[in-house]
Amino acid sequence: MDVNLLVLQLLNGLALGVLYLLIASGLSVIFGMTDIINFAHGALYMLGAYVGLSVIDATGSFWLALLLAPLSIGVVGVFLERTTLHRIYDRDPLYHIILTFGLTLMLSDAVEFIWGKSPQQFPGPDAITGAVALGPIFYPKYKLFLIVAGIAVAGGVWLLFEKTNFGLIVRGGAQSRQTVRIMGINISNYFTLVFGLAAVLAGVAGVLAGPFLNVTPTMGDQIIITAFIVVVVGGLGSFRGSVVAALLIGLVQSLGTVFVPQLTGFLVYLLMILVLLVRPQGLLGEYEVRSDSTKVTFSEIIEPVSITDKRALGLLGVLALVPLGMGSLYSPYFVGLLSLMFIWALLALSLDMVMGYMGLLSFGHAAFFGIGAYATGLFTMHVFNSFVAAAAVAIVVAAGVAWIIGALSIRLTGVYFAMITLAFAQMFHQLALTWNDVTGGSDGLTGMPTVDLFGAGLVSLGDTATFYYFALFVTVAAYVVTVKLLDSPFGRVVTAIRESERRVSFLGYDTNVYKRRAFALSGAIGGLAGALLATYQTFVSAGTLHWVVSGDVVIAMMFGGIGTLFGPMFGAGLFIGLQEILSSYTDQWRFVLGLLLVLTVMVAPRGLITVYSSVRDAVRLRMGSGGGPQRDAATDGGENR
Amino acid sequence: MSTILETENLTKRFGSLTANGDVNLTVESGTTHSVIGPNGAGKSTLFNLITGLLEPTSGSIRFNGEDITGESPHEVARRGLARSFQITDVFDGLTAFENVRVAAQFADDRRSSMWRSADSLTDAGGRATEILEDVGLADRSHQRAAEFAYGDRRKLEIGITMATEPDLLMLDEPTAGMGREDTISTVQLVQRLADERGFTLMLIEHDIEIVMSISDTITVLQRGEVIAEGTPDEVRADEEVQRAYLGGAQL
Repeated sequence: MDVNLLVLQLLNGLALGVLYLLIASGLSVIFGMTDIINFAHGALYMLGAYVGLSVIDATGSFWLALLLAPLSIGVVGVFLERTTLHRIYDRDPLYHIILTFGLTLMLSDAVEFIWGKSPQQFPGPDAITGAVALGPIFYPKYKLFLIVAGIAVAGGVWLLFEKTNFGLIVRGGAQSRQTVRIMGINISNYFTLVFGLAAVLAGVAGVLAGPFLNVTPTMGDQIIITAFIVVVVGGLGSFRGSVVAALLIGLVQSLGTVFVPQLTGFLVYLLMILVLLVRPQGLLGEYEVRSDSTKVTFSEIIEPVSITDKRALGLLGVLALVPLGMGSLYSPYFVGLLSLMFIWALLALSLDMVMGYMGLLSFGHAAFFGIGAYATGLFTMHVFNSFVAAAAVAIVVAAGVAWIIGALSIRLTGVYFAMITLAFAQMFHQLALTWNDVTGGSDGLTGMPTVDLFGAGLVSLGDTATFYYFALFVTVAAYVVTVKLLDSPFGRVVTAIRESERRVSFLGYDTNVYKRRAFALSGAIGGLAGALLATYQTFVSAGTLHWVVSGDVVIAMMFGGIGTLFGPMFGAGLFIGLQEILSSYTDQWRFVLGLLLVLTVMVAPRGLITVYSSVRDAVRLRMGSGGGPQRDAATDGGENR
Repeated sequence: MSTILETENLTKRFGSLTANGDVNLTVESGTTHSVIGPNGAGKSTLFNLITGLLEPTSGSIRFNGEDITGESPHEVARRGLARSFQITDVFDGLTAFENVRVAAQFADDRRSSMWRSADSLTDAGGRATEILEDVGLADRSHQRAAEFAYGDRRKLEIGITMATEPDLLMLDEPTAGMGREDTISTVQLVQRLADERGFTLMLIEHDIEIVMSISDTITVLQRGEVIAEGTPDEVRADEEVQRAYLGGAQL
């Protein structure tokens, strides 16, 4: 082994680790105190880099940028917290995810609008350019500075939390908000301060990363997942854990690239899976995450709409007529878009079954979607061009994979379950990217035939209207079956598991069996959605397996109305439809979409399907006619849960 | 009378702390058996060990003559041992009826069926209705548990545990946080149901007067160890109990 190379990579890993630490520590402290998984943290980091860039452009001073940019990000953070999150702390934590996701979309889009899409050069400080000789090797001075500066900042943060009154209150608040509040401290102001402080750290990381990594509007998307992994591996809410995990992951990444290049994309996820299976609370996790911090709960039960309901039948009637206007009223593109919306509705249905009904936070549903798509593509290409046969294979494979993932991760709950499913899905994504011979790698799976429904030329699904009707049929059938399934004795046990798994197991039920089965069934529906996607596109992209797809479908589900089956389907359809339509009108579509998400969360607690009733109640309340149920305005922020 | 539950030298240590040390306990079938002791005496730990929530460090547990040591909660439950929790654990998002039906459904072979409606399990549904009547929640059976007041949630949990038709029902402070009247009526309710349905009752209870009046046998725990076991009169007369638990005051 080349010792010089080893030292070089050790230093690189350290530099990377320090960067992760700055971001992860902010995430960790926000989570510890408020239970919020802050997706917008990556966007704040990215914004930090861009603001820093502008300060350098204006003043020519890196040092000024390192001072001013984090401060402005802190201000942005405080502003965002006060205007949005602060008003909905009492809401179920899951809704915070969709809110911060919406904020992420808005921030990324604003940055693109102001600074443009293309990667930008970020000049480092003049005083520390070039390399320095460390024995036999030369190492960039800037990276050494990054390591030292990062450690200094992290050290400062540690002192702040461990040695000051402020830190004591924050740590106390993480343990029990109620106790801190009883002591006469307005804890909700501390939420704002902590959020602001975390934003400052993200800003520091952004500026420090500038000269080291590319500055692009997507730089936050890449790092946020790694930062989550750091937080989970280190132990949620443990600062020391984050330090250890950040450095460990930085090192694993940089050493892995050199010594086991074929495993590069897998290592971090493997590490996380290993840690979660052996020590679910993380390397240095000191306390259990409040078990209800990610519990799926609803303030009201909204039963799935029966398919024989007048409104449902009306909608189906309208949808059945759509292809008739193709060519005259609108283009085939529109009909195709609706088909795509059905496919996403199916995926959301599959997710709602495990998340809305069983309370398992799956953040890896892209895996089933993608596996179904690849299985269908490969089967129609190499075995037999028949959708029925291919979809059967896709369903079985996706369900099998779901069963195995479920069996491995079923003991984990909440965020931990989300992270382990994410890791598995990301590994499939890596596999699709690297297994060139089979999957076509990053080019995707090309050369798929136009798929026949039965094979041997019987009913081509290449026809837009035929595929439309078929996708509609499959989606409606899956909905009907799922509604029936959840109304069965099995379904009632599954729903009870969401409410209290412990209680269910003390009745005699082996809950793991139910969870595995439900997860496999959900995987089957996800696989079916993937089969339709491959048929629709006659192409499969590795992007189908990417975590962004998992994220999108979680968001779409919440957007529509989790735990209602039809709500998520609407949400997903609309989410995808809006993306397509908005993007054809404006480059700033992400901003509009993000704003829509944020407003929906703020206005309608249960998503789109309750917008109407929520607005109606609010209007009644304002008009003083009473009648409408009173909802807590929640200005206080963060009830002790 | 036969023995339904028996522990032998049951011990649980958390690090250097011994939560339960060599607990030997015998519960006779058809009796009401109370476990008392000051806070931190290890009462809940004992319940958790017996029901499989915790694994004992050493010792054994026999239920209906069979060794159940180390079995998981659902296995223990299947043997006919049900329990409630100190902090009410019901299905908040479900209606009272569904809360109890999910429990009653376990006795049905079709409990995991996917392709029929849960409503078609009429036995389970009927039993759930019956139990809700027994615990006095029949008129609110279609309300969500989350909307119930504290005392009613306690009653609902008792209903859920009873729906599994246990041989032994273990209640962990079923009346904690209740007023005197509620406490008495709840305990009387449970005891009446135990008589009617023929299950053995084991409970942790703080109200000494109630314990004395309803129990056939009382086990007194202190610092994880049994310091006395016997009828109310025997326990009342026990000097060690008076000294340790009752501060020397006469009962």
